[in-house]
Amino acid sequence: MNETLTNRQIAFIVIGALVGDEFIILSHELAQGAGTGGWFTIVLSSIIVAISAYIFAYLGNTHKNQTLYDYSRMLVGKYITYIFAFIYIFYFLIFSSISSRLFCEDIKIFILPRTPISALYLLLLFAIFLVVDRKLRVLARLCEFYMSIVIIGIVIVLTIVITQGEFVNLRPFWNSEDFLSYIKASHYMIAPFLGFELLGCIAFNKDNKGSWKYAILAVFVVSALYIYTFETCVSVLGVDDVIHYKLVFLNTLRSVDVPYLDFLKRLDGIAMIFWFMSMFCYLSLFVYGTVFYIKKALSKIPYRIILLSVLGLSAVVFSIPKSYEEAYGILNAISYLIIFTALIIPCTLLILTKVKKNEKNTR
Amino acid sequence: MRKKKAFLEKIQELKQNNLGISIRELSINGNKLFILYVSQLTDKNSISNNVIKPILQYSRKEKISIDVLFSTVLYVDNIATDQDENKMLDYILEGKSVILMPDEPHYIIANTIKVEKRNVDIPQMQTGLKLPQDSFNENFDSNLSLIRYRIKDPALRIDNLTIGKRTKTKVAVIYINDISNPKYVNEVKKRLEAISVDGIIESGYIQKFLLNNPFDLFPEIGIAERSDRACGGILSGKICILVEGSNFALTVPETISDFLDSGEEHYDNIYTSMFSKLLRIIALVSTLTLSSIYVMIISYHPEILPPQYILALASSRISVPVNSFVEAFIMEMVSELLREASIRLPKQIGPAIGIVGTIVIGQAAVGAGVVSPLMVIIIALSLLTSFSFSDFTIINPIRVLKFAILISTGIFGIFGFTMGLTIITILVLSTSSMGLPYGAPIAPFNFRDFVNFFLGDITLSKERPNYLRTKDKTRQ
Amino acid sequence: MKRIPDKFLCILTLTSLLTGCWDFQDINRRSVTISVGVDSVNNNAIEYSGENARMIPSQSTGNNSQSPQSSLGISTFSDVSGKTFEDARENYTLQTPFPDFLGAVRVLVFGKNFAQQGIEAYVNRINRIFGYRKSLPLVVSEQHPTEFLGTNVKNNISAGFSIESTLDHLHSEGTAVYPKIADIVSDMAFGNIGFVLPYVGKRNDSIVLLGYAVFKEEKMIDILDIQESKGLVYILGVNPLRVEAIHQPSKENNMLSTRTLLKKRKIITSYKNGKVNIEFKAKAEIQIQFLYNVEPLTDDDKKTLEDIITQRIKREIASFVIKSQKEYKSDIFGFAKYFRADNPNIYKKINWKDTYPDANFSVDIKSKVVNINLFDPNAKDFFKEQK
Repeated sequence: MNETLTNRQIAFIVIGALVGDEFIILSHELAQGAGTGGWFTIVLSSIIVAISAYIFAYLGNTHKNQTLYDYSRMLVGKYITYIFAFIYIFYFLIFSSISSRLFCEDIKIFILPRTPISALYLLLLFAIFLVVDRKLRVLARLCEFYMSIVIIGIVIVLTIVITQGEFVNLRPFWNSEDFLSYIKASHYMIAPFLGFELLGCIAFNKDNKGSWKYAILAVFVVSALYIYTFETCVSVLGVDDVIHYKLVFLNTLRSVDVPYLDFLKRLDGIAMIFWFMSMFCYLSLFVYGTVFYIKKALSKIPYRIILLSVLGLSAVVFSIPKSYEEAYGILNAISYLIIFTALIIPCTLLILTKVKKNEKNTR
Repeated sequence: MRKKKAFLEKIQELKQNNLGISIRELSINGNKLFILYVSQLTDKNSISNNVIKPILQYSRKEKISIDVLFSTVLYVDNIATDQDENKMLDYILEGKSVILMPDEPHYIIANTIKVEKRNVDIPQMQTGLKLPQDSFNENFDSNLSLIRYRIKDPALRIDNLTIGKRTKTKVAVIYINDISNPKYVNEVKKRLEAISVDGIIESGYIQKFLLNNPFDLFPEIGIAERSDRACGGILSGKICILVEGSNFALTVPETISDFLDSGEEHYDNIYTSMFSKLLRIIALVSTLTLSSIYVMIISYHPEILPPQYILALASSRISVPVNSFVEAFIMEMVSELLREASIRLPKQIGPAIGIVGTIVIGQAAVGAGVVSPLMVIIIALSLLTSFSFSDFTIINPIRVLKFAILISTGIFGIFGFTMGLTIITILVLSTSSMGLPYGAPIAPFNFRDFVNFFLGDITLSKERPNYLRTKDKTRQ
Repeated sequence: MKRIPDKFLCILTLTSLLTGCWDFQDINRRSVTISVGVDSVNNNAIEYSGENARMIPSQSTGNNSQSPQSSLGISTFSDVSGKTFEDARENYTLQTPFPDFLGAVRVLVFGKNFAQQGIEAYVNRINRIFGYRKSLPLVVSEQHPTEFLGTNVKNNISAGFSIESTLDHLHSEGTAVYPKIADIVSDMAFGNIGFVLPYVGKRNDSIVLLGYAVFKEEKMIDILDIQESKGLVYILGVNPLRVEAIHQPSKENNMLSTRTLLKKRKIITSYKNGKVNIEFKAKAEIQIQFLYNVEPLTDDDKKTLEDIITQRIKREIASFVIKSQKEYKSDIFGFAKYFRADNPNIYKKINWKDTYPDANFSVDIKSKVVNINLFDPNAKDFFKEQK
């Protein structure tokens, strides 16, 4: 069950778990909190996230061939590990289901108004089943392949679009009076930066020696992408208009006709394909996280049964919110669990690991 | 006496069973000799000049015996003795001549096999401009010689197996001992030895037995019609399997990047190589997705195109009575039918009917207003691009998946298109050829293998592909 | 166990999905709208008009042609009205045989009445309905939109095509301002600033750009003639161009055809002594296209030419800005964006609408004659020299 991956695959899993559809929706909230100085908020948040990712990588490399569940069981005992596993299961399950709900709603409103969201969800579930059933190796290969295409593609699209924007809209880049607002706006960055806790589901072996470098690099690549997206949206729409749209990036692309590209002058079709690809990686990773922890906790039940039950449960949670706003509210509320999943649990384990190491050394 | 009687009864039994065995009885100095052979499988000149003639010309005083014949009389190059009576029939049916004497427990097996075979011909499927033209034929020895003359390494191993209870087909597993990963070699041999079946007619049967799962969509084993392609694979660390009666050799393990390689790029300019590989990737994607993109744009998202294109598209379809999905589906079916028909057309009338058929069908359909001109162009492109692959087995699953993506796009537009592509990608990435990930070197990504794949230059690719995990990593 | 869920899920998914292709609609079975006109009629009712593409299948009777041809025609719709946008829209839907396709709309035309009453609501409508592109140009028409869009334009397929092509070409040439819906929405969201829209009309069966309609608080307050609005183009246009014939300073009866491009434009704002200072800086690159009569051109001529053009540009810009300050009292150029970018803290404290009319505005133009279009007016004629 403990599958090992190459460092590059680990980096792309981190990218896939972080990005999702955040590059589409990020600017909307960030511009509200930080105005044109949003880049600073992103940089600040990415430093904190990079530290947490480093902790995960360090723990993984210290406890070779063990996932978080295994070494947690060794460090804090069976029952507390069950609590940790429960927190992760709940977190990943709610996130994957509610995010899929929001995703299907977005598709319905933006592109396919008459298609029922249950049909969209069924197709999505089928594809997710296919990939999660084949476990982490195939999922890692998919993320490696898809996220590299998404990142290169999005950067090209952004570069073309930002030439159609106005530089004056990006200024002022920094206003010292708004420094506190920039810091306060970091709470908008929780959702864009959650997901790297999936590093706990990967077992590191001796081939993954420098994996912490890759994990940190992945976080910085994602934050560079976010900054570029934010600046592009603000330069085209203006910071006062960016705050009004949930799917900011797609609205930015709808505003721009690039004359020299001729039949490709409308870029939103291509951007939508990237959106679907990265969202698929994101949702599959989260479903995998749920199934992984359940399998670890209830090891006797076959993997496939757990997967089918998780998908069934996801469908139930999918139908719970009665409206788009309700789903959004649930997601924002649950995102505060990141304090446990990304800070408290790994820090606790880190401290205990260090203590154990010291004990060993003194003996 | 009893022995002699049993012996003569055996001879009579062989005569009467309509096995087609010819029996030549010779008598030398009062000693009887029987030569048993199947005349359709025997080289008559060889058996006359190298077996019968020297026996009849035997004039020494020494009593003639099997040992004397074996070591001093017979001129045949490939000769052996055996004493297992049960195997005798097998040898005769193989095409060898069996020489026996009534009082001797041993018998001689002389290789005088001559079967009807084609000459070494030019390849029919895996053609190219700057390629060696010697391709395999159905004769086992001929195929082996085509490999042996290219690779003269003492480490070249040819493990012979006989598979098929009734056909007793010869199968050779060829690899270079100090390059190939023994894990793959052992796995291949294990799977071959486990085959228990009546007969193997073609290498396709072996291919099916070697698969992980018969329901796997993508070909995990490559075929090689030309000997340079097979030898190139062996030198990279792959294993080549030759099957008697088949003009296609199998190479294992294969990844998807091997199917995109026609071999010609390795002998040509670097830029041509890169360009050809890129074209083939575009060809693969366009065969799969062109009609789906057409349906997606016409029926779901025309706003992706600039306004003048939208109007041009709309006006080109104004007289078409069916919707774009049905139109695409029917035309794809027609193109598949044409493809099947054109493969089996007789050579004399094939090209003519092909041209007339396609032109007439295409023109008439557009003229009648049944399909739009753009659809005909798309179908033609889709069909043509599917022929740009050397190893055509990769296109077969694509032809089926094309319809799956078309249906998915027809229901969900761009979302269905992306999900369809994702499902296909998952299927590709989860396939493994003998444990080797199918998507290598793209996923899992290896920069050096990826660059070598694109450049295809022998001077620059100093190491063998990493994913084959060969014993000897360097080529130079 | 392994194979069953795969097949089962596959069948389950497929059967439930094949219940219908819900959003499937071929483009040739939709009503492709080319242009939309909005005006306000009796009692503030909304009236829609516009053009739809009409595809007519025609069987050709000639022997040579083998494919069915279709011709692209334009049909106009008009007199579709209602109390609100939704009512008018519903009345429109009742008379169309196919579902609407709005992705090919080329231009949006406002009538003068509607423009004067305020276009904010309609712009928000266009912005939020996903069928429309946000890169749609907006114009105000001299005639009623129905009459205007019904023009049989002689040099183009339809009025909608004609407006968009004309504006696009003038914009890329540098002689017109061409805002799209996205720009207007952005300006509206910014607040405190006005904007201009092209003002077009019908002249002898052609669509002509007559000038600009000035908007303050999303309502039209004035119409400017195209000749008066050069200053506007110099500030707001992309690669603004000025083409003019000027008397050669040393030879009064000769004219020089000049082509001036304004480059490296900068708007620098500051706040001193309770007053906003706005400075517009640019470099004017002058090309002498040709001389009416070939006469020698001295360096003094060039210097004087530079001064003349500098003064003219300064005057045009300054007078226009003063007009926007004193007459309109509205920042139609968007200087507020630059001020906020340079002095965000001060911007938060002041009320731009009140401060702008009293702002100090200065223009600094540096002109240079860069070339004479590969022509040498000072060349010595060999035979004339020898005489």
